Amino acid sequence: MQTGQKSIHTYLILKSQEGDRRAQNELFKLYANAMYNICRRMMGDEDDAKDVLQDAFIHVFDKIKGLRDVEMFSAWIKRIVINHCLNSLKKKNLLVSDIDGAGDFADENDEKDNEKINYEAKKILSAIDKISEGCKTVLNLYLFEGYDHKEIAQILSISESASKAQYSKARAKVRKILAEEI
Amino acid sequence: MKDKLKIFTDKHRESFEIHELDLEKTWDSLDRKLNKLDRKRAKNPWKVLLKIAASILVFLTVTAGFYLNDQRIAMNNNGIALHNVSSELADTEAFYASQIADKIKIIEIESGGLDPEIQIQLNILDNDYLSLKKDLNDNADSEEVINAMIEYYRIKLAMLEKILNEIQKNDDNKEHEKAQTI
Repeated sequence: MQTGQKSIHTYLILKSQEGDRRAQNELFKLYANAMYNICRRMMGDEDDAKDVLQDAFIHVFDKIKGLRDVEMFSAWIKRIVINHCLNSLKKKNLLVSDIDGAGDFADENDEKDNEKINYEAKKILSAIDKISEGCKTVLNLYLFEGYDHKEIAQILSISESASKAQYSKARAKVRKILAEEI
Repeated sequence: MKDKLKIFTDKHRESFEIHELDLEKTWDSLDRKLNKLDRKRAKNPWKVLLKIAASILVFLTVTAGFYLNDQRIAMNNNGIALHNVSSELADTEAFYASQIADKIKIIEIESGGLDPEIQIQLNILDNDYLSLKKDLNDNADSEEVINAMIEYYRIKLAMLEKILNEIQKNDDNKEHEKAQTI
C-alpha cells in the first residue's frame, strides 16, 4: 500500500474507532468484496455468504475500538470473517471431514491468455464448491487465504498432519471433478 | 512433488476473486443493523457501567481478602471507622463521604433514582467496608487496613463519577439527536 493510501486507510480506521459511520462505510467499501469472496468460497451458498459477511462486519465495527495496532487491521478483519464462516459451518454441522483418495493437479507451465485462465479459475472454484465442507475449508485456507498447515491446525483445532491429509484429499477430489467434466 | 494447484492459484490469484457484492444494498442493511445495535446500547448504558462496577468490585474484594485472610474479624462490635483513628483521617473520611453523598444525590435527580443493580453493587462495596472496619478494631495501627479503607472511598467515588459521566454523556447525545431532527 502506498504512503498516501496508507494514511487514508489509517485515518478511516481511526475514525471508525470513534464510531464515525461515514468512515465505516468507506472502510466497508474497501474490504467488502475481498471479504465476500472469502465467504463465498468457504460457504458456497450466496445467501449464507451474505449473511455471514454482514454478521462479520457488525462484529468488526462493534469491536474495532479495541484494535490497538491499526497496521493489523487487514489480518484482523480477515481472521474475523474466517472465524464467522467457520462458526456458521459448525452450527450447520457441515464442518466434518470426508476423506478419500489423493492425487495431483494438472501441469500448468504454459503461458495462457487471461480468458482461458479466468475460465479455468471458475472451473476450479466450481469444483471446490462440490467437495465436502471439511476438505473445502482446509483447501480454502491453504490455497486462498495464505495460511500454512501449522496455522490451519491451530484455527481448526486439528493436527498439522490432519490438515495436510485433508488438503491432499481435497485436491484429489477437485482434480477428479475437473477430469469428469472434460 | 510440486503442488500444481497451489502454483496455479498463487500465480492467478486475482482470477479467483469473481464474486461481486452489491455494496450499496449490503451497506444499507448493515447500517440499519448497526443503528439498531447503537439504539440498544443507548437504552441500556447500565450494562457497561455494571461491567465497570464488577471489575472494581473484584479489585476491592481481592484487596480486602488479602487483609482479611490473616486477621481475625471483631464480630462483637461495629468496628473502628477512620474518624476514630486520627483527626487527619476524620477529615479524609468526611471529604469522601460528602463527595459520595453529593454524587448519589445528583445521580438520583438525573436518572430518577439509583438503578437497583447499581444499588446492589454499592451495598456489596459497603459490606466490604464494614469488614475492614471490624478488621481495624483488631489492628488499630494497621496502615495497610487504613489504606484499604481510604481506597474503598476512592473506588466508590470513582465508580459514581463514571456513572454520572455516562448519564451526562447520554443526555448530551439525546440533545444532539434532538437538535439534528429539528
